[in-house]
Amino acid sequence: MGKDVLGGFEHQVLLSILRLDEETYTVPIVLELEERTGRETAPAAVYIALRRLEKKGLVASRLDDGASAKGSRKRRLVVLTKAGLEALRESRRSLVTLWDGVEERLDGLK
Amino acid sequence: MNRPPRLIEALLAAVIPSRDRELLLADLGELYSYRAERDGGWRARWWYARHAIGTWLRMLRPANRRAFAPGHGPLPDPPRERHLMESIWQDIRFAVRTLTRSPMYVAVVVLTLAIGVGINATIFTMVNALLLRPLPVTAPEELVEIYSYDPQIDTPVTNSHPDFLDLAETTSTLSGMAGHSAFTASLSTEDRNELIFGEFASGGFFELLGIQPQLGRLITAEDDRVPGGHPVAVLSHSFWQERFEGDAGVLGESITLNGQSYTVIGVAPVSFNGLTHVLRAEVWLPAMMAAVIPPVGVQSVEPSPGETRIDRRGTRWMSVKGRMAPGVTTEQVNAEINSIFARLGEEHPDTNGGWEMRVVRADSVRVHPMIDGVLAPVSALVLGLVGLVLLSACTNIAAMTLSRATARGREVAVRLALGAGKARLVRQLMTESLMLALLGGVGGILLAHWLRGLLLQVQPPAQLPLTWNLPMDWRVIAFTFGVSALAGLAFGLAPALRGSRTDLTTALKEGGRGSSAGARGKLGLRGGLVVVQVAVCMVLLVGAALVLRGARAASQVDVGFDIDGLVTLTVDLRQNSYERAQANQFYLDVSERLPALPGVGAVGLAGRVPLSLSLNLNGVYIEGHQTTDDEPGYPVDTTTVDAAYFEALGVPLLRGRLFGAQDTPDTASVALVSEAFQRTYFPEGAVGQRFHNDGFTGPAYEIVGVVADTKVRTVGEAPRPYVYRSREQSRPLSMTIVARLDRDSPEVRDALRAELRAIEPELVFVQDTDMRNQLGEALFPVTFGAWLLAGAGALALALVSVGLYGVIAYSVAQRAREIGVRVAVGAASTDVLALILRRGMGLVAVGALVGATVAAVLSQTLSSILYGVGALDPLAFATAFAVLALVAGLANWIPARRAARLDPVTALRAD
Repeated sequence: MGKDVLGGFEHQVLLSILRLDEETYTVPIVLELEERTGRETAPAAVYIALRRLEKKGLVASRLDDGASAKGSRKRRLVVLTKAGLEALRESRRSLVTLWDGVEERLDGLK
Repeated sequence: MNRPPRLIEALLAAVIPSRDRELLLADLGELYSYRAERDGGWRARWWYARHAIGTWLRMLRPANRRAFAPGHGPLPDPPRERHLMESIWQDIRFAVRTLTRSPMYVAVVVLTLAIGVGINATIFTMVNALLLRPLPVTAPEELVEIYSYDPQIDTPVTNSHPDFLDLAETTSTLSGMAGHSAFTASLSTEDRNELIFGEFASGGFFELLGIQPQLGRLITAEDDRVPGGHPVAVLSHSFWQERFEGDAGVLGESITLNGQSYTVIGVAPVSFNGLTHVLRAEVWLPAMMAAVIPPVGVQSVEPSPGETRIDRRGTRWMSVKGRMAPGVTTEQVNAEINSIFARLGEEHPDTNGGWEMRVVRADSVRVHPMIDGVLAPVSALVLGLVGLVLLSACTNIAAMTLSRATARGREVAVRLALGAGKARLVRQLMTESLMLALLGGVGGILLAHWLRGLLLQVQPPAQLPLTWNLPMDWRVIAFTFGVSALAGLAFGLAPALRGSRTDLTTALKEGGRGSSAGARGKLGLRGGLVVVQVAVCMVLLVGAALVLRGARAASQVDVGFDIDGLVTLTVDLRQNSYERAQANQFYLDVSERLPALPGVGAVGLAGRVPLSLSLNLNGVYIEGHQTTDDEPGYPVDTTTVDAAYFEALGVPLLRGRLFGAQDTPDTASVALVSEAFQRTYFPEGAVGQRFHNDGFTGPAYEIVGVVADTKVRTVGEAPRPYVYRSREQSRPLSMTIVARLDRDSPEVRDALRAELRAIEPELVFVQDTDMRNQLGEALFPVTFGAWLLAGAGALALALVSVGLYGVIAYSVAQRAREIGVRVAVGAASTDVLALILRRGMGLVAVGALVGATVAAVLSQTLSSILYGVGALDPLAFATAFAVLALVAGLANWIPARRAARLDPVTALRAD
């Protein structure tokens, strides 16, 4: 398995974290993904993806022992790391480049 | 906040690595709660169940498990293991894909298996609670059980309190001893009384068992010194939760048992429900309180001096447990206890002479050695029966899997041709079976959980609300998945092996039809299995129909009086420390004041009412029948009533007179007898005759009247002799007030109770029910048995229809080409329908005949509870057969119709 390849789902998770724009955890990410993609998202998949992204150094996490105001349980809060932001920029760059000039053609091919 | 289904959560917790368990479960829980609010409970539960399975499957994947491993970066795995794990993962993914392509097959297999496994898990839950679970105490293996043993009756019984104290004082092989016993007592709440189940505990009880209080303190030696002098109570955790809402302020509060107030000193931990298996104790009292509340259980009484049972050496009522000192064996304890006991026997020859002691390991005793001997074989029998149900389910699944394997012959052949190893192929097919088994196991657990919920609600209509203790612990879970895995092997192995044996050339040539050699028209072994299933089903259905009809007939039997609108309230004035004279006045007041209430008719008094579970037999001696006291008297059911009793029940006087003002304690004793008594003992007329109780030296009674018969013990009995003594003459302290209501409503019943409390504010109702309920109690075992049989019958029916469907569908698939030929040469579709139906219904007919024969033999054993319904009742047999034929016919018709609609061109082209 390639180490530094960003999987499609991992990519979506990273984007959700970016959208949420703050320290967040599994549940908001699941809901964000469901809302944006219109598909049911498995919490365990998000959970696993987060752990994998952390190992790749794209997100960083800390344990919140639940003392904070929101809810009273333990949560693992995640934020994008510099490398994570860089990976998103990189993927955006390559995707935008690839899309350049083909959108009209896609619309034309029905 | 909504909590996700606990069982699924627990199953899930078992597979998530411990480091992440809490977090992931909390995430799932939060999403569940969110969904429950947004989509409602059912959809949220469905979502949760699906994602639990999804999570479970994800956890099987090694790469995913690695994501959970601590530290950063992928951990190097041993290459060999990784290879194996990855290929297993591949098998699983492949199996999931294959199975999702045939959702009907998966649904039927999982459902069938879930039913089979669920029933087994339910029965196992009961067996586990009864026979397998160790006592919930510290180091149960060190505990011994001590019984007094009378070689003459060859039965271990309980122990007397003085013996217990002497043994506890002298023993050196036991590091501690404790006595306990079960009891029932009437708990007074705001406006009513209810019976609760509790246990007496000697001072060392909780210490010996190593139990720590949840709250407050437990019973200690300080609470166990003076007979009747320690009104303190320890509550069970559930009692505390239910009645005091888990309020910590309960300490120092009081509860009222049998009219006496007990101070709450503590609450037991949630894990401890007492030492009575299957039932939960609600409260513990110091053993000394057995002086005022009678214990229940195995007891033995020999006359001996002493104020109460605490002091009487001849009254044996206490179970005794001891903890073996380190390094001591059971034999050593037995030897020592018996040598101490031999000395006690010399000191107290009247009570202890000839008695011995038996010491056995506590974990070898479940309820009582006497009862254990029956429990184990009965449990094995029931487990065996439900095992048959599972076997029958497996047969069905194996048949379905086999037809699938046959249909997949070509796929298998292609894979073999492409170089797949046979072992790999078997593993692949087994993976499918095991995954189905796993799903079936999960379904089985859910079903068992639900059935357990139903069982917990089963309440024998006894006065005592019984709380069953049926935990689904790890043993049940392990048993269920073990059984499912075995079932998966059972129904998967044969088809897998057969599938991998597929002969390449034939299979590729023949395509989907599989190997047809010898399959033409033969139903073979599978047909035989269907016959057996049908027979078993028929037996169960006939049994259910018979018992249900019996129960119905019983509830309509004329018991000799109108049972509706007849309230029975039992009081025991000993609990109010009444003297006889006071009690007499109380009952006179009752007879005067209650009938004056609006809506209340006649009000009678009785020592024992018909159809109650209590039995009161007296030896009747009649001049000319017996000559001396040494001869046995006639055992006759006896009660004590007042004259109004007959009016309240509506039992007519046939001859002579009822009790009257002339019958006082100072005049000669008189009695009324039932018609059956007269017919049996004085056919020439009983009025004016005399009889004695307990020998000719015992009290004599003159018969002054004969009344009509009523049922005495059960509804099924023949008219039974019954003796009525006069309440006025014997003046008992405890009586049942029998009130006929002209207008039955809760208000009238409340008014009755209120009026009684107006006479005595501290009155405790030992029983508060009515005749309709009493009849229900008497019939409970019958109705419960009927519903059990009906449930098992319905289950068998479901399996039969699935099995029959499978066999017929398989045979239709096998014979597609033959049917095609028949249609092509001019057979009408009705001919084809008839051809297929005939075969299937032939199996049903044979099975039903066999089943009916077996049922006819077995039903003779039921005749005692059938109340006027014959053991060969044609209606019951016909109903059972009709239900069976209808369901089986439907299961048969679906594939038959498919065959009839077969397009000959398609069938003949075949590929």
